[in-house]
Amino acid sequence: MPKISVSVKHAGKTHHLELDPDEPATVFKQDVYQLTGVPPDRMKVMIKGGVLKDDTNWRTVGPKPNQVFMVIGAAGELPKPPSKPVVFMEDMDESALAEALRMPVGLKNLGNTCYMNATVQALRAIPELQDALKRYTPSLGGGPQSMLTGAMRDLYDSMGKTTEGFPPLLFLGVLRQVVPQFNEQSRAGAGPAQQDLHAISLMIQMAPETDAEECWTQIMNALSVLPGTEAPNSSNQKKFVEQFITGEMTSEFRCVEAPEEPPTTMKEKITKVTCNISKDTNFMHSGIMGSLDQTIEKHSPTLGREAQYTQHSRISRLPSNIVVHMVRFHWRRDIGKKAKIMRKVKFPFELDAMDLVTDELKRKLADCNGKIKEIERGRAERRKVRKKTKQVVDSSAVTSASTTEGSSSGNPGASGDVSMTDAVTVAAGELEDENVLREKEKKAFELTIDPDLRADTGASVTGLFELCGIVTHKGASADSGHYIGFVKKDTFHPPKSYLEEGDEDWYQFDDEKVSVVTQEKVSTLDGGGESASAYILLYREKRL
Amino acid sequence: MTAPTLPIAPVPVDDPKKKKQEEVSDGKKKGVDSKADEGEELSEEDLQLKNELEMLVERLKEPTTELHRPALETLRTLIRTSTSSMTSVPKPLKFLRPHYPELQTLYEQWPASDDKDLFADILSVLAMTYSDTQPHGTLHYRLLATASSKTPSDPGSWGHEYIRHLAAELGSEYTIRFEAGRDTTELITLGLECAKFLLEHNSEADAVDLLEELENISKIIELVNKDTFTRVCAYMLSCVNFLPPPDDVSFLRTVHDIYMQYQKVPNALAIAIRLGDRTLIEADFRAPANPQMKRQLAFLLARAQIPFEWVQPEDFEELPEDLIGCLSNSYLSVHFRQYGKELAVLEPKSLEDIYKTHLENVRTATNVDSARANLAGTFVNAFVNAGFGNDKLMVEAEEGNSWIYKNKDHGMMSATASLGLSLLWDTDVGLSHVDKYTYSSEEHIKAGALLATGILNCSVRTDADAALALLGEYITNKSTALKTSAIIGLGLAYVGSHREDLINLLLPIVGDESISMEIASISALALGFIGVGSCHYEVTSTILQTLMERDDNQLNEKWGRFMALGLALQFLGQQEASDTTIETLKAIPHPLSKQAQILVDICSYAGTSNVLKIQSLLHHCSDHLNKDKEDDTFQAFAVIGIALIAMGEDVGAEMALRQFNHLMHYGEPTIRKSVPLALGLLSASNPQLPILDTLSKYSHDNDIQVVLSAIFAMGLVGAGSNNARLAQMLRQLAGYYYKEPDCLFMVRIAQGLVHMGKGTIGINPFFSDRQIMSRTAIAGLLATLTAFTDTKGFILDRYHWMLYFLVTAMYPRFLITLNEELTSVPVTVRVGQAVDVVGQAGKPRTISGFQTHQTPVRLGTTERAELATEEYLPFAHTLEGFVILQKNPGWETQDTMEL
Repeated sequence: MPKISVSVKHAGKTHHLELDPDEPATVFKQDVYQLTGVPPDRMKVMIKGGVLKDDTNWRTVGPKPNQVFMVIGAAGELPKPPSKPVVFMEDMDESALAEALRMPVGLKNLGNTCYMNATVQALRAIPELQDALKRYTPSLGGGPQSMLTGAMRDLYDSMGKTTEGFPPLLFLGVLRQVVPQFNEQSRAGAGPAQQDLHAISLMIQMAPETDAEECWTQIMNALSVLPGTEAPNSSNQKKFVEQFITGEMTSEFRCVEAPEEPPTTMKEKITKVTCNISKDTNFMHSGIMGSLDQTIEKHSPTLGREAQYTQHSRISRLPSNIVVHMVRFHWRRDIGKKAKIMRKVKFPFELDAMDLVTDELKRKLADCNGKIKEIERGRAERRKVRKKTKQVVDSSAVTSASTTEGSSSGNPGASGDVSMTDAVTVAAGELEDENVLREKEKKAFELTIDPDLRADTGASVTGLFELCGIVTHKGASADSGHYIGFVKKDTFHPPKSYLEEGDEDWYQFDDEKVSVVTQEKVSTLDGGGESASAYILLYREKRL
Repeated sequence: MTAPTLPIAPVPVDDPKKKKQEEVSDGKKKGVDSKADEGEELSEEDLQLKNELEMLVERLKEPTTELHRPALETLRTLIRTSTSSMTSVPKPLKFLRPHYPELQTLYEQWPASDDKDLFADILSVLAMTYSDTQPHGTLHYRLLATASSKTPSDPGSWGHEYIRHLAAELGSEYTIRFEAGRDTTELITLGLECAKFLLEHNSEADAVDLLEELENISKIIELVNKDTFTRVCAYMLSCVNFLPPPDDVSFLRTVHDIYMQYQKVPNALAIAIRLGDRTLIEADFRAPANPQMKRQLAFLLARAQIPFEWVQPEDFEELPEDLIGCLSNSYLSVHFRQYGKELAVLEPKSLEDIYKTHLENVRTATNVDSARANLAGTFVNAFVNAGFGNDKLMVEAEEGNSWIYKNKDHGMMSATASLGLSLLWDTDVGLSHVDKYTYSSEEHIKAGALLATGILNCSVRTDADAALALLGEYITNKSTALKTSAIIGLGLAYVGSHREDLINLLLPIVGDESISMEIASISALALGFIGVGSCHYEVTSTILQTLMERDDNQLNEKWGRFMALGLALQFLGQQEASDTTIETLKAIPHPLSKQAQILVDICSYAGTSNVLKIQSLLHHCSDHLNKDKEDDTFQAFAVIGIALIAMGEDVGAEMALRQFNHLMHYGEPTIRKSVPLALGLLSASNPQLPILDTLSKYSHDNDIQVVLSAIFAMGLVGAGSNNARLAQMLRQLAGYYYKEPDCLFMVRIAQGLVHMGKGTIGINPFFSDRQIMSRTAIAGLLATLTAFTDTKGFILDRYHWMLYFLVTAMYPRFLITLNEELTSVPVTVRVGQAVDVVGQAGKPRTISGFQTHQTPVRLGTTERAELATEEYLPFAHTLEGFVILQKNPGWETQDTMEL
């Protein structure tokens, strides 16, 4: 039989070739392989009624001249499974999941314990505290304070291992044991349901002084047993709270009525800065200033009677974590109740403490403070430039760098990095490599640190702080309501590289409900109504 | 009329009568008044007329017969020439009314003569004023007037009002006589005369109604002319949904014949497709000689998935290649991608483009792969990028970085199968692309590849019959997964093809009792797909036999419902052809039989809006069963059935919505979870606000099953619409259910469906101006919904690939205009909301709120297109899908006219 001219259609293309009906089918397949690159063993040639087999005789098929055969099969390699099997969320156990998800868990409400939940969550925003707690081993018979500290360590530990809302039973037990008044109130407010505002109001009437602020203070007290981070060669054993939270306030009293009387100076340890809210306080800063400079009545030794004094206080040691207490609750004698000040008081996300410190400390901080602000500005500028160049790169490389966009959807974390590096390599043409710049900045910054402050572990060196934790109170009066904690997200997930900076989101801890909220939402927590308003604010020092 | 109690009687018998009655009573009152104070009220002219009429009546009473004729003629002239406003009785009738009884007696006394016939004629007119007390008087005297007369007068000469009156009496008289078994010939003769008059005087609707009442609609074919036939056909088509069987079919056949008589072949073919009549389709397809027209018809047949063999029987000469191309839908893939390019949606969309998580309220940052989330991603990617063949996760994935491995076990199967959706209709490249996965060592991937082969062949034909060649060998494979995929793959690839060889291949599996219920049921379903609406005898009898012979335990399995569905699909749209099967099913004691009965029944009457069927289904739903003792699954199908039957027509669909509302309030859980599904079916790819609101409400129900159904239904309703409001609702739901993996999975699926084909592909089963119901589309939708009647057992278990059943309903919502070489030509068209203009006077606009576009253009479910200029003439009767254009030889451009 003579050769027949036929064609094959493969992947949308048509190829012409000769078919010799006397040869076995394998020969034909080999010819097709030459044209299409489909290996014969994976090649499927469609003939009437099925696929061409290797032992098929052409005569039974009866090919006609110019017949078109459809060839199915892919040229090249077979798809291979990835070398590393994918681990799925559904296969993980609780603790692995918690680690992978990195979403902090909430605390279950155990009956009017939102004050405690909010406080505990906000305290998590002190990064040094976590480290210190991890290192802490309670000494046997260390007293109630060490028990509470130990309980707190265990609590944080277990919270890191679960994804469900955690019931802080043990911690609550210890807390009630250590601080009996928390126990009383809970007994008074027997209602287990948090929603029952009436029960809460009952409870608070019984023990009006207990609130989140009280809880905060009590926990701080207990934590005072926690050893500090030791400078290797330091001789004096300082405690953690002393180092990182406690500041020193220097107050000067001048008698108004006897100007000739020499001013007296007094130094005291403080663990929080109070912000008094008067009828013309609109900003937290002015509230703090108001509480630093005030007029008091006190016994004058020269006049021998109660006299008017001006108190002028300034902070002489700045800890790296400042706690600001908004004095929103005050005892009103006329109604015999604790009232809440609803006034709207704006709080800053970045606090410059230069106005709050003594002149001496100001001098020590000045250099470093100026430097860090300068560096911050520089970085913001660079970020903007990078963003712009990245956009340009992205739009121009839509077709070429096709992998970045497509796969990023499925696995934002992993391929996000890929696309970033792409962008940076291009941006590097105009900008010096960010890592190098950072290194330089760091060196320059280190130089500006005052040696005295550097030696004082836990003391602030820059005087510049950022907001990282908030406890809010919601409700119309001090006797009722609900506490919610807010913690900045990057406290839990510190940015791995400078590229991840600028995450402005917060975690909201409403008992066991944890959600992510934006900075705008957080900025509305400044009061002015019955909605949640900031009560305790935690600032941490800005560092490089 | 066979059943006069039916509430679907379309003819407004009562209306004209009522009006008349009012007029009459009005006239009576006036008559009384005028008697009371005669002379004062009447003007001189009227008095004169009255006297003249009375004189004429007197003359008739006289025994001298010579004067009778002129008197009668004068009377006739006076009555005919009198003019009156719409609200009052003509003067002569008013004045003659008191004399009617005496004239009646007088008439009886007269001997038969021409004069008597004329007298009867006049009495017939006068009887109009007595229709309240002596009904059928007009008709009575009319018949007397014509029965004996050699030269019967034309009833039309008495005017329009008289004819309308006569038509109304004809209808009711016919019913009386028909029931009494009396002769109706004279009525029909008279009816035809009336119909002729009505057609000539712009009352096509009345003519159609009259002939329908006389059960002689086919007679209208001879009465219409080239000016009236379009309006007649339009009215008749809009009536079809309200007619009880078999009148609806006879209407359709009549319309078909009229269209053929006037060479409107595409219209006729559309009707033939609607009827599903093989001989009509074949005849229509062969009718035109113009090759362009033939191609246009081929496109229509391809859209309707009419079996290829119907128009290409083996003993006939082979069709030319281009026609085979049109019939096989071979151009679909190329044109679809080109259309995507014109609309600038060719670029693949990523999952994030669809989810838009940055707009969700709750945000969770995870770096871990969740198998559930990835599986949802698989479907979203498949539905969104369907047909474009360029998605980033599967088709264009980097070597060794395929999305498949981001799925677990059965997820891998669905992931591989998603290739089929992405490469939908592209048999050239797609088959080779999928083929390489058939060599995988992983069974799930291999199974997925088989399914993908089937999916991508859906609604396209290859000359080499590739799907059968590739899948056929796996039918006998030992592995359940491979076997299932191959069977379903064949079912999808050859949906609606009615191929005997495939039926012979799959039927033994159904009949073999040693094979598991799962495989047997899946095979039955595949047979249902292949032979949808075929009433195939062997298939039905084999399935029936299986239902009788299998063990109760096996029938109790969740798979049983697919067996029943496979049986039901055989009867899709065949109405009473399923009666014997239902009777047989009644003999089977197992509860599955009840499901099968309902399924067969609802499939048979799908899209007919048959009210009786809906009533009986509602009856099923009102039962409150004891769940421990009785199986209530059939109620779920009853609910879906209400939607399936009502979906043909807008008024019925709206009424169904009310019923669903009641069911949601008072129904059992099984019914409640099916209601959202029914809503989804009722309004597939047609996101109307009320339905969206209702579903949104159900998506927050306490019952998680209702929630899942509702969310999926939202996807169905919005499928391929890109509806912004719906997308927003789903994003909100994603936030709301972020802790419920099942709900979140469903939300993702729904999001994928809403953006199906990036907004270019819809799943509405109606096409050709929403006149034709695509049986294959219904089959796919119904199969998907059946899987959702046990969501936890199928979709949320290992059988999520059942979502791919939707593929049979997926079709681009486009209008592509082609020239004679079948290449796309851009022309300007106006696209707007379709307006129902049936029965309206003049030439009203058929679209409202239109915008002008260049083709190819996207058409929404309720939208219609018209050519903006007359530069081209379309071959198709509706501008939808592929339309071949021809240059208008008489067209002159604006410029030349200015010159």
